[in-house]
Amino acid sequence: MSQTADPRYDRINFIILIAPAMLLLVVFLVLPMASVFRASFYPGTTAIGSSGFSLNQYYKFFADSFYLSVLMETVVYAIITSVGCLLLGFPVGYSLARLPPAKRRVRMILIIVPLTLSLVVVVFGWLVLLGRQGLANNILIGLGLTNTPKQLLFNRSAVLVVLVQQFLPFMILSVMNVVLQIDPVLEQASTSLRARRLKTFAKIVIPLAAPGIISGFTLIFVMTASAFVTPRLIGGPRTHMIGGLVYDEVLITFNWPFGAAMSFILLAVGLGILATVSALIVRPLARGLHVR
Amino acid sequence: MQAQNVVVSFKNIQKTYGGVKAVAAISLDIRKGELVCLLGPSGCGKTTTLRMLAGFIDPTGGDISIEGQDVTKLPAYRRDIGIVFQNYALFPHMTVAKNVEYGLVNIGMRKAERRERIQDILRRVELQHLSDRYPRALSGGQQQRVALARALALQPKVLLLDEPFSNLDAQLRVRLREDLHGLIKSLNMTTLFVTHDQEEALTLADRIVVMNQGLVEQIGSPEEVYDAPASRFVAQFIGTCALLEGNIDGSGLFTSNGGLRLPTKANPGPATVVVRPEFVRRADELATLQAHHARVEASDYHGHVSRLQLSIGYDQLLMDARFPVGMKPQRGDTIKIAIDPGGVRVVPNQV
Amino acid sequence: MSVDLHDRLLSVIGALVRWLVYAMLLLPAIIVVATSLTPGTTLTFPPPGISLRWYIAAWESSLFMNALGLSLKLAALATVCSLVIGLAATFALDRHAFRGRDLIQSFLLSPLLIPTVVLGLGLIQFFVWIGLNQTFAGLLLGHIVITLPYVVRTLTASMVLFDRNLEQAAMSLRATPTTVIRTITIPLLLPGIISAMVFAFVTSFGNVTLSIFLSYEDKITLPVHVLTYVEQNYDPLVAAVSSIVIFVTVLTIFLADRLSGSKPVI
Repeated sequence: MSQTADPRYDRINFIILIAPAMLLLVVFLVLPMASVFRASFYPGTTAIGSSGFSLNQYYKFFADSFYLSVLMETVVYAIITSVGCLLLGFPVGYSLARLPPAKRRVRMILIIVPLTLSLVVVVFGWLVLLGRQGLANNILIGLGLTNTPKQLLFNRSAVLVVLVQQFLPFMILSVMNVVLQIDPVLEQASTSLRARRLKTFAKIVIPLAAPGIISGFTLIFVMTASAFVTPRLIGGPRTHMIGGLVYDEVLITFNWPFGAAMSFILLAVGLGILATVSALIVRPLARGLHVR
Repeated sequence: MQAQNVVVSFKNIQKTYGGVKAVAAISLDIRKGELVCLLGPSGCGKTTTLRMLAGFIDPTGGDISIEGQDVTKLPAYRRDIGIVFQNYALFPHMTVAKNVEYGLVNIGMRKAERRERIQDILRRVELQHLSDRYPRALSGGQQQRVALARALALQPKVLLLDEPFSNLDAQLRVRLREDLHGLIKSLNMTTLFVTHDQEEALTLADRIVVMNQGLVEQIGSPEEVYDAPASRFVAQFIGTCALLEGNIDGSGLFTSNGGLRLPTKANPGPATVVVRPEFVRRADELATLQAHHARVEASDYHGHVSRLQLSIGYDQLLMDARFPVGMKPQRGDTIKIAIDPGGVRVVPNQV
Repeated sequence: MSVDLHDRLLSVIGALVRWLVYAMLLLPAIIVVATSLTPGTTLTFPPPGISLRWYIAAWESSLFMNALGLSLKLAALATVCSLVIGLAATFALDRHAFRGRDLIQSFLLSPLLIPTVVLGLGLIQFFVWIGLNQTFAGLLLGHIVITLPYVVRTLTASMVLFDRNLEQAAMSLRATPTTVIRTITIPLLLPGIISAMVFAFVTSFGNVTLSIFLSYEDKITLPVHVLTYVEQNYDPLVAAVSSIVIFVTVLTIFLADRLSGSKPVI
């Protein structure tokens, strides 16, 4: 509190305050992750009571074209979802940040409720919405676009739509928080210097909002890549994503070593792609986009 | 100066941050009822000094005592001081009355007595009608008075003011300055205040401590620091002036490097001379003195006077003067001036 | 002229996107609540009429009601624990500037970035080793880990806005450090504390991706029940149960907004 306190006492204070959080995460986050990493090198199909070291699990994954294609597909889903969230989320996040605080409060609730609402409820809502007797089919029939209800579920587009909806709030809030830090005067200055709106966005807003865009993008990418509830329920049995495969290995076939190996492949590939993306995007983004 | 009159005493107070000296060895005694001002540009160490007295910053070396008691190691809440912050730091979740009451509760004063004290102090700052308002519903000037009332309610031994006027607009600033001065003097409150505004310091302070880069440049009454600056820095920071470099001969005559001659009473040797603009006059006003031909380089209208930038040979001077309508000199004109010798000050040359 | 047209087009597109997004975000929840009110036995939208029969059915289902009780209890406990732990840690980080502070901060936020499938696998495997598998303690610990980042993030944001002069002013008014914390620090951080609690509560209450790994026998949370139910068949009963989840979430957020909104600070 005051700097009058004895520095030694101060340090003890600090350690007492920070210790519970650190302890919690070291024991229940770092150690479990380490145990997953260790398990991925067990030779057999069970983790409990195993010993030994082998690359069997990784070999099994990379030797099978099925797993490789699922990995590819997962990455594609993650990229499309993150980009989709960015395109839809940026305008909303930006406009929220520029609203007067009282109005923003109300709109924020519209963003926060879907964000915090249980995933199963959201997915269930989409099942009803896109089902044979759902709103979407009723509209199609009403417009005369189709006579019989169409199968709108269990395909890639449906999965993508639901993934985007589910993660959009993260992007919106991320963009909003960073745009709030940008002084609107900068934009007025840009406009007064004869820049069109689009140019102002490209040269002023987006470069300054880059940190928020990147953090939203990263979070959504990671969450999509490991999604398993949405692809399972909306995508049906033929849609595969790595998250779903890990889930099956853990809770259905109980092959934890293989599930562990897939987890780490997912993490490694995810991190690799994020690193590439940010190397390719961050710098140009911060420099400003090219707009005529 | 009598020892029992001293309320606050800094002895060789220093503060270093990672090897950088923020405050280098300040010694200062503040007497009962005295209003002392720490004046200097931002980063000169004045706020650090104030906060060390308040107990928010630990000095690296030296001692601070209040009424003879060593408080150097005492936490802020055991020192008998009141403080008004630059942003007032009013508790936003409490009404005006609650803000004032806060300290009284902390010293365990009884309810009836508290109520009386709050009434009394709010009346003094003319805010009794606003006692149930929240700070955010008050104007800047009102907030400042609440902060003052809150600090004074505890009847502290010393009152500290940290740039108390910097968040107010110019007109209000002058009025509140007068009110504050009257209040502090009527309470005979020992006060240390910090500002970067020399006008504020000159009008309010009994004594001014001019600081620069952690060092005390001069301690003196407003008249002393203005009329007899102890250094070039003080001369330039307080008021405006022209500085002339040159030499003084055995008879006390100063000759600038540009050739201008001015009589002084100083010892011979290299010297710097301060000439304030109000001592540069039209030659017809000081007819007995030697007149100089000066070229007008620029002229700014200030309402009550015009300020001219003049050059006499290679020397630059400033002049504040009134001219009859239509007679104001323009840039490029040559006018005749005289320099009042009473306004010529020699500043000791620093090594 | 052309500049005007350009900018107007842009603002029209912006408005369209905004409406699309708001509609898209709210539609699933609205549909769930609407269909849960059906008097029939199938999920149709719009519902043919209005009745509360499925809410009564949900109320009578001990399976769902036990799960609701468990979820509420779990969320409440996880919120309290992660608030206490997170408040202490955030306070420490806010008050002590040192090298590596950002690193610790990122570490505290890192559970957000760990895929829950991976964390889920890690936790059950680890719990099997230390004997916490299939225990309520295990379930609770998992929830504290995933709610902690929300608490830390929300509290950090509100502490940044906190004016430290207020504490110094209080101390100059003879308040001891504990008095300062009790009368100044905590009351002024209250809106931040409330929103941290709300985030923790609704995150834990709605979580399915981690709970599915840690739930067992009679300790199965409501969202996990809904998930397994929906996988088999869906009927208005599960719509009613889902609506209850929506009501709990919305009510929590609304209450918190009122609570912290009644005294807008600064």
